[in-house]
Amino acid sequence: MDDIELKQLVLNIKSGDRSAFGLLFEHFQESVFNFIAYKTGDRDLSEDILQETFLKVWRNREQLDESKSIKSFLFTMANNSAMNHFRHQKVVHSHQAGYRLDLEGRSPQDIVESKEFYEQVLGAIENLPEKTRITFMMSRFEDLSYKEIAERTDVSIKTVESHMGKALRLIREKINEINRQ
Amino acid sequence: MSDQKDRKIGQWHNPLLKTEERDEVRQELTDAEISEFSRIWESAAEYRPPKGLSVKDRLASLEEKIDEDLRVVPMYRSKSFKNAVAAFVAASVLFGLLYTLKPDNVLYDQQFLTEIGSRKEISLPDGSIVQLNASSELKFSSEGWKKQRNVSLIGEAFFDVKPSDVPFVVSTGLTNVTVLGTSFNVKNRNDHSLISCLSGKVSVDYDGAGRVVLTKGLATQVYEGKSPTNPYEIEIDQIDSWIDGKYYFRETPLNEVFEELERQFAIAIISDLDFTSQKFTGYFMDEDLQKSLSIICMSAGLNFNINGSNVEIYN
Repeated sequence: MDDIELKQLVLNIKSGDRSAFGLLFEHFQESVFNFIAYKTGDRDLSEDILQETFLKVWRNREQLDESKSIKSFLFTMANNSAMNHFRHQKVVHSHQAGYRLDLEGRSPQDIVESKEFYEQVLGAIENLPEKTRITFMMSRFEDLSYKEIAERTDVSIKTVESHMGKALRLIREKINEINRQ
Repeated sequence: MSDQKDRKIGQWHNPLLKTEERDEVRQELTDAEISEFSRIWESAAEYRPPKGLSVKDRLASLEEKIDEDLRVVPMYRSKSFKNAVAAFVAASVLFGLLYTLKPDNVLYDQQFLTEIGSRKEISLPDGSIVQLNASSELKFSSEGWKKQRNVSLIGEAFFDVKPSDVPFVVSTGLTNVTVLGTSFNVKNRNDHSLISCLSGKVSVDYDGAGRVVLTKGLATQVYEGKSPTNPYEIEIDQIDSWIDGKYYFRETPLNEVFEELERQFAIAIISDLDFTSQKFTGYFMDEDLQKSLSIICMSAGLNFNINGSNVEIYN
């Protein structure tokens, strides 16, 4: 969907068109869900927050602004909804997220040799500071460009570059530390 | 220090980086680093996001919630209750004003003020830097500076203090914040202070009623008549993000969020609703009023209407 189509979609949603809202949901639900999952590390909670985010948008559809990027708006809303769920406690990124290793086309030999390394990498990724983790997961798990990540997380490309470098540096340090022991 | 290097590492993996920049970045990295980073880069790319429910199930569940909405009748709010609340809010704002206007016991000859919707960077005699947020005031005495580094603050400021044996004290009327050399943020609006520490150590005193020591990534809040709250953790990069126009809130009463909007966008919020018991967690950016209002109002289930510099908020 290009910008003009999205704009028309937003206009239709503002006028109360539920099927237009359904299209918006279908278009963005996966990327928004992934973003929330990277943030919370909890698949079930992410489903709830996804629902809550879109429900809020529908309830207040009259306030949507078709001249602004609906994409950046949805991600900001999702981020704010997720923050709301954390309340006071510091959330530790857990292993309930269920990231999947996709090794199709790899030889069994190759997989056995690298399996341990893959696990070390994932463990290190999950321990990264939140914003660095979300940035790195978006880039690697979904193969998004720095520009796309910058748009979704509402930061500059320069900041994305810093997060990506920081992620690689910290993961490398962690893996070297494990393998020295 | 490592931020620069981090960015170079990040740039190295951006396929859209220009060749000449790439050559420059290459010089900063060792062969071992390049090969190890690449291995991590490739391995991480074998992972996929978690598999959630199907689009069909998600949409069905959302449709169901929307249908439920149609059956819910909005709750009626009594007008007299609203008026009582408005009077109470006005009284507490007035009290806050009177409180911050109480006379100082130090003679200040330097004064800096910021208008609504503007910010200022101030260099102090010792090289410390202050970022003064909108609608705030910073005062200090240039005479007495050598002996004591005392500043008085109304509003909000971020301090980057040059290390020295002479204590650096920020007085807000509500609290005294004392440091030797560190960076921290003080937000003092009405009768409520929020102090957050970005680096070093910060000591927060409240009229002898209590003292809290903050280290990196910790914050405390002080309400009129109460001792500072126990330190709690906050996101490091949210402490001074307002300098770049990004305002973060965590469980903050909605009226305080709207007050910040008024300061940043030079607008007046008009409403006969009570926002003191509703909390907001999230952020807004100071460059886009429409978007900021949409984000806050959507989270709170409110509506708004922009009319020049007046913004009406309603249910």
